[in-house]
Amino acid sequence: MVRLADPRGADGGCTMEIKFVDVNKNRVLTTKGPQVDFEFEDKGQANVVMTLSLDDGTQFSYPTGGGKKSVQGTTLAPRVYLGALTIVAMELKTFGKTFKSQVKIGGKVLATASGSVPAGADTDQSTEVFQLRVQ
Amino acid sequence: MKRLSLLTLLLGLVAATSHAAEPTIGDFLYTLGTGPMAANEIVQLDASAVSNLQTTKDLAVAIGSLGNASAKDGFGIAFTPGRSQFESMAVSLARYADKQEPLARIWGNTTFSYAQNKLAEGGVDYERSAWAVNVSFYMHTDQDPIVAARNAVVRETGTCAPVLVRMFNSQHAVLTTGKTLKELMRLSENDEMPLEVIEWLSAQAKGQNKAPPSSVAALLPQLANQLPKLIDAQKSGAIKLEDSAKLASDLNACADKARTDAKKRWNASQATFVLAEGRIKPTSGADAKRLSLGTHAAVAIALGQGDNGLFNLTLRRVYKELDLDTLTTTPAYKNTTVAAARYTYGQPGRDTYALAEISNVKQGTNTVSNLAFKQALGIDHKLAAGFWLEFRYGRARTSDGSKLENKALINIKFSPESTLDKKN
Repeated sequence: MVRLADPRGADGGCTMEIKFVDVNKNRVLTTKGPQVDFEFEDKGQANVVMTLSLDDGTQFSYPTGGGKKSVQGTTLAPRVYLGALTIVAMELKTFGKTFKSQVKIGGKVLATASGSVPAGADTDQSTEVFQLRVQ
Repeated sequence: MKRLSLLTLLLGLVAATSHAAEPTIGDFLYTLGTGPMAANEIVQLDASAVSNLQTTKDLAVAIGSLGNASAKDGFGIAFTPGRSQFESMAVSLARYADKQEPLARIWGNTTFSYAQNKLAEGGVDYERSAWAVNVSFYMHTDQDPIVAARNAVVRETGTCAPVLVRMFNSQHAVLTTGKTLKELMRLSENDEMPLEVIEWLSAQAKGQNKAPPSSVAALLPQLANQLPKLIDAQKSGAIKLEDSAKLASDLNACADKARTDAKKRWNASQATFVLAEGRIKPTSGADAKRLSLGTHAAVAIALGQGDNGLFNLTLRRVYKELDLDTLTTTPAYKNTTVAAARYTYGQPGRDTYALAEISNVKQGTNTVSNLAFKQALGIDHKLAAGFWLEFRYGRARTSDGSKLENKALINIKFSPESTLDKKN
């Protein structure tokens, strides 16, 4: 087995769907390097956390504490990277439970997710793997 | 038991010092509240009968109930547009938490309310109605419990950073597996992996038991050979695939703890503004006139001073408030203006607070609001959640209003909320 820890075997009733936008048929987003900007934004009322990792150890997370959107940059050598994007939306009690998230890389929209934390649940979440070609 | 005995004794003391013809002790113990915070309080409608509008469905139901004089019971609605699901009016959490957008936070704490209720007096049925606008917010962004929950999940500075590290480790585990597969597939670093492999890796990350595509299935034995390396890394803690739902749950618990911890701060700086108006009229009679239940305007400011101090200032004006005892005769109205300030000293985690307060009590003006202390020193001790023992000593007006005198009073107060509304 490939799994390194016991899975629950299901998504726990999560309904969040991460939709990839500016990608090709193999879920590859192409951008110019070496300087690459990663932009995270959420316009919902839930407490949303996004984490993005690349296979070289690059990591970004949202929120970063300041401003409505978070733009973080890094330098990447030209090649195809494997990446993982996780979005967690947590219902914020009296404030709200909607999420409307977007991730951009190099100005292109990598992925979006929108909706509400399901009734009776505290959280909704999803993780997807993608590829990033840096030219 | 000890608390109960103390309580019984104090209640006895309170009863022993009260006389029917005299003002009650509660009248003297000055509250720094704003008065009515919402429309239902003006028409004396229980808060449980107030619907909080969130969706278009809620709105449709509320509109159907508006002006329905035949309704047996009263009803009320409260609407905080900034926290509703109406996209055009709602405030996103990102804007709410942004220090550069104080107006967004104020809008997120603005509540409009309307309530109506019946009253039977002297054989006549009356309908009372009221509206109110309430703005109540934390003056320092970081003290707002909603913002505290968001700040907790900031990786660099938040208290939930350890959970975020686990999330990154879990992603790293999936990517390491994917990278190993890519090598086994003899793809160069510039080659793309097929979508079916990417989707299978995603399923792994989500904990779904998805059958591997043929391109992966053929490589599973070789991939298994690589597992010892991965397991070693797992043992070192650098790589660990965890249940994604469990991670989300842990993150939520951590953020919620930050929110509740922020709510516990006793001297957070807050501001409250209230504007409200009430009316009453008989339910029948063509010439039935609407009478005013008062126009209420109030400002309450609480300014925290470090960890130990809190300065409160309240200004309250009630204009043309009907004395309900005169409802069936010649209506009489009263105007009330109250200004009061209080400084409270306390220590975090302790239940006893020392305070000094002053108010605008006028000697010789015989109204209920002027029964308050003009100046007083006191001690508040929290007996249990929302249950307070209050002691005051100071100058107060005599019952005939002719002069000021020294008074010492003790009281037990049930106060489920703090002096300022905390909706967060």
